[in-house]
Amino acid sequence: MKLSNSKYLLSMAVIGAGLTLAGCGESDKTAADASKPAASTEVAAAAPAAGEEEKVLNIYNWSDYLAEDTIPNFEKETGIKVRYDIFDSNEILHAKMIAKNTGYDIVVPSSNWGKMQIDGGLIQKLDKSKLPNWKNLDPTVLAQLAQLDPGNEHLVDWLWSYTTVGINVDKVKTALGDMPMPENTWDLVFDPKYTSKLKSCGISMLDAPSEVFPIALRYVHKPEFSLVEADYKAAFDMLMKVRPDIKRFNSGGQIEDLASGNICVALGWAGDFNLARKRSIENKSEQHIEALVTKMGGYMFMDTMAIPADAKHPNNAHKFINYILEGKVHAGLTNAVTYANPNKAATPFVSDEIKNNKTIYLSDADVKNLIPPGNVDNATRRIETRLYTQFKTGT
Amino acid sequence: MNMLKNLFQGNKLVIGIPYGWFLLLVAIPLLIVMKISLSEMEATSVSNMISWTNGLPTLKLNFANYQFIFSDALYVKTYISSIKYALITTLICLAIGYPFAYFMARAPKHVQPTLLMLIMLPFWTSFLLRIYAWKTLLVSNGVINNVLMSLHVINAPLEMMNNSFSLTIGMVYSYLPFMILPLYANLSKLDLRYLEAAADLGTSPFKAFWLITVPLSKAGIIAGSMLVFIPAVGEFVIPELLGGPDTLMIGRVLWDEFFSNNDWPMAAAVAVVMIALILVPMAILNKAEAKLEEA
Amino acid sequence: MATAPKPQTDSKAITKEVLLRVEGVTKIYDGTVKAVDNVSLTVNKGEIFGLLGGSGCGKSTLLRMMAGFEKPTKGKIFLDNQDITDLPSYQRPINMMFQSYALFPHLSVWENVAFGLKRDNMPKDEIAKRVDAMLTLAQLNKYAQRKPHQLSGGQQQRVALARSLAKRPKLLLLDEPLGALDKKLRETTQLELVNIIEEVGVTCVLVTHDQEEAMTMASRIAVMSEGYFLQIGEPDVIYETPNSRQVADFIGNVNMFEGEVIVDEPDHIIVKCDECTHYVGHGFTGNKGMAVGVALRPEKIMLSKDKPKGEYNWAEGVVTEIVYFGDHTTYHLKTAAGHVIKAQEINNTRDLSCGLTWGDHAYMHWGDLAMIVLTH
Repeated sequence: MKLSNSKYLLSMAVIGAGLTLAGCGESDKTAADASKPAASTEVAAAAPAAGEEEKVLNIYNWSDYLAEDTIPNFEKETGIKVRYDIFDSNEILHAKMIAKNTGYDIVVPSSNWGKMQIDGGLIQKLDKSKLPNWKNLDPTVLAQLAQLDPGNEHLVDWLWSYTTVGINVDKVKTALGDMPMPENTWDLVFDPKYTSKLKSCGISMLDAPSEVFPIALRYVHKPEFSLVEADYKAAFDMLMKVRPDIKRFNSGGQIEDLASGNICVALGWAGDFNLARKRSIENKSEQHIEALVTKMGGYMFMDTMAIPADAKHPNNAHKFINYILEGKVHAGLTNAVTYANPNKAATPFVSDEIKNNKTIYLSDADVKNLIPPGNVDNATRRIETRLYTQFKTGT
Repeated sequence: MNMLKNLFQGNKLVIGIPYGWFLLLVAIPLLIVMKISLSEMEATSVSNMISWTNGLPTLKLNFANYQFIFSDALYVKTYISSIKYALITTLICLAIGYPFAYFMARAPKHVQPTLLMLIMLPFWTSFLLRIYAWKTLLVSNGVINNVLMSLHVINAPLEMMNNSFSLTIGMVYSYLPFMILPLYANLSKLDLRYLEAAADLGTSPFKAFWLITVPLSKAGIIAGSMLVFIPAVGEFVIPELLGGPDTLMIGRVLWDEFFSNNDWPMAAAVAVVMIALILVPMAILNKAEAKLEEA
Repeated sequence: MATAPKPQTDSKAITKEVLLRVEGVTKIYDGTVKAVDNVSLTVNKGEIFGLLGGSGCGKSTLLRMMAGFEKPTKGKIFLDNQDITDLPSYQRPINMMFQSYALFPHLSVWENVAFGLKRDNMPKDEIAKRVDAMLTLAQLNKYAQRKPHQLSGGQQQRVALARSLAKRPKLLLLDEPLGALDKKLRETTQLELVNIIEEVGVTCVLVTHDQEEAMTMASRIAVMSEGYFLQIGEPDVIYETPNSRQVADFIGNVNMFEGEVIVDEPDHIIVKCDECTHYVGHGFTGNKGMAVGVALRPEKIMLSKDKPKGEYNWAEGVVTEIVYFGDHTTYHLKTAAGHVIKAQEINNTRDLSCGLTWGDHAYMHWGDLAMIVLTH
């Protein structure tokens, strides 16, 4: 879930402009698609058998999320011409998927969004006979993902990370004074005892209710994907106590804010904290950034490859997924963007520096501790958004 | 053939183009948005309004979205705050833009095209880049704070970013040309003899400005204010980049409905209410004006 | 050298009380363009003074300097013996009725008229009284609440007049007051205007390019050209005794004969021209052998089919054009020398007076005192 703010907004504008037209196309087909999602999935899955596809593959993926040679090598190997477009938020991908006719053969939603798209009949089943490299996948990660996609029938993990706490070590020490670091790392952002001190150097939180609430719910000992409104109220009440101490709500700017010393504590993505750390080391900045692994567990998110139901080149899409699942290729992704991969065969090719970083390559115990990707229904999402908006405005 | 000829006869064609444009790009999309706002959201699609039972169509209109908007204080509060920021922006734009346009219109004729060019010049750069530029100016370790601190004017950085201050600056900055241009067009057409007549009747230049220039430029003031106010109400990008958590505007709520809640009908309803909030007072104003003219 | 044409000075000014005095005023635009060139004049109390000239002659610039919209480059302007040259327009007790009126379009008739009074912080009831009086004077009571664009041209003109008179200015400036009206309306309005002005008793300076308008309205006229005065005088003086070919030509129609003085006596001169010999019954400031112009107004020429007696003051020609105006008819006659002479006959009977028609050969004759001898 990489996000750079400028691109995020640019695509926003594009989506905005296309909104009405998309709405138009969608409304005509709603009835047919809604009534028989399963059927359409089957038809699409059967399509590859029809014969040779043209040598084209259209991919829609997050920005800055692959190695330089990933695509050229695939094109060389298969002779398939790749058109590669990028997006910056799940919301935008999802809106496009709902509007249908994306024209893409591979999309990379985060798993909880992928789940909604599966339920809506927007994603077709994988033909595992075409994926000989499937065997390389780490069973632990597969099991986590299976909670959303039973039997791992639709989604294949691209890379994964988790939400956690990132800190500017020296600034936090100064702000806390003689107070020791808390037993439960989440106290740094959820316990007023700590936040009231850290307020002075700046606390930032993700502007994403669906990623903060599972953690907040676990923190107040409620089910992470509860469907009970009262549970959310409880989490909200907890959040409101620290609201006066929070300086920022943003998803895209945390790397920059941490690296430049504008904030000292962030609830955000582990991958981003490692990037911020990398950046401040590269810039010889005095800021010492670290991602923390919490005992209570962060919220795991996976960005997963999926084939849209109406993809025109599903055969080529399978070829691409299989290509990514090659150990060397998957390791290349991890080396380039410091996010963990789910590929056992890749581990030997991953650089030592990343392999030994316990915040990227978590121990098995730590992985089990994470909140696995999950999802809630629309009504609950509305509650999340509504309460988070209230939380942000502090009223 | 004959019909075709008739259709393309000068008059009808000339009138037809703007009407066709309006129909295709304003009326129809608006109707679609209204239609969506009366539907329900299913998992990944919008429900159909008309269902067929025994060969008979049943129309199902869902007004729940509108009821919800008025039952949850969030929406009303956000509408009010959007209108508040749009109003503040409009008033500041007017206060800065009016003298600007006035002196432009009074500048020597050969200088005016250059001044006009300078107003347009920012449009050559991407809107987003310009907003980002403000970000680098206003942040706590940004240009302004650094300069003030190195000059020892201030000891701690001023909090100018991600609050209503930065939001207002960004909005005023972005919309100012839309205020200046119609005002300039209006003021440059002002017959200077009216000012001479006022002076002749014993009015000092300062008073003549308020008694003659301002009332006569009313059309320009209204046009400029509308051009600023209307898009400012629904502004999304500037509050997102320069605003803070407490400067919630309706654009963000709409975004949340559409993307976070994945509830297109609700998003459409929020948009329809926003349009109504702008259009209804405008229509009333227009009518009152027309009546005033008739009297 | 008996009654020579009057010089371009202001003869009456000495006898009456002077209100406005313009002394050697010059206006130069952009350092080079001389719009007004060393002009002096006086306007007496109660007088309507006309500034007459073609477009670009400087008459409007002069008026604007009186109003205070322009500053003279050189010279002084006095009002009631007070130097107002540097006084801003809004402090001068002078009001102007603008060309095409410049009525404030956003204000009603009533508010337009009250505008100047309000600026003087006059008490409200007094303003109301004054405005109502002005509206009555201009017969506008019915239209008090209308906006200017809802009025006819003549009504607008009366509003403009009421507005400029409301403050009871010492001096009223009228810039082409009838220019925006059609011809028919102009004649009635002219008289109305004069009546109102005389009723109020205000002193006026009137700028116009229309000589008829100047003649009817002004008690004295200054004829302007290229920034200076050609002649100042009462309308009849200017008409009957123009001091130059330019003035004669500008005011009314004129036939100009170019000739040479062959006899110069104190009580008469004789001028020899191509088509005739003029016997002029008065002397002139010049000498024998001088080339002069003899100006003769068309209405002073009589036509006949019979050859006039005597050797002077007649000419012959062929009728080439007959222009019928209703009340009078203008005949164009071509002389042997090729000049066209215009003669104007009053239609005092219902048949054409002398029964002339196209192609007829006819004689023109005129009296000893009908013409003006012009030396420049």
